[in-house]
Amino acid sequence: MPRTTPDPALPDRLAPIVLTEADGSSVRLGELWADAPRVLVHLRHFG
Amino acid sequence: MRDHAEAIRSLGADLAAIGTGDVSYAADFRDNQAIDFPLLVDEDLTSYGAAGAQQGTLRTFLRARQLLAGARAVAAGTGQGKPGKHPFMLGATHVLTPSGSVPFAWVNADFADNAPVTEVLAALEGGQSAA
Repeated sequence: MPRTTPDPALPDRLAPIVLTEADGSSVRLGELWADAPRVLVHLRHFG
Repeated sequence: MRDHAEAIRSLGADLAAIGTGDVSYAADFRDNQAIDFPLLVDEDLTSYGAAGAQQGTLRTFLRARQLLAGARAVAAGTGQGKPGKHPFMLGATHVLTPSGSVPFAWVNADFADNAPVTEVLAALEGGQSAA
């Protein structure tokens, strides 16, 4: 049921977003799947 | 999903996670859980919105299915950690590829909902065979 139809615009929306990693470094999300497929999990919480 | 990081890597992919807490809490979580993939923080929910993640409600939080899942998680030693300032934010799982395709998309419907790992791995296997 919650499996959704992949939105082809999703990579373009996510790619420019810059977030902070747990070590304090900044990461542009698009870098995460630039070289290989990436499973990107949005957690409900840490835990 | 973190228990399947090696299986994901064996398919030529990798894992990354985004949480709603702050950097300090993320660092503690990473160390306590021995997480060896990128763990990012998104306190203002920018990427959650871009990913189409949903907000739950107190009513859905208290559904029997959620309470049962919580009890199982506690019994398994994986109960909920600190909820942070966005306790009703739900999760999502996507597979993104260098070509710009999205072979798997899952937006959690409620607090007990999670993307089936078998389907994530199948999507990665499909990408391998298509390459």
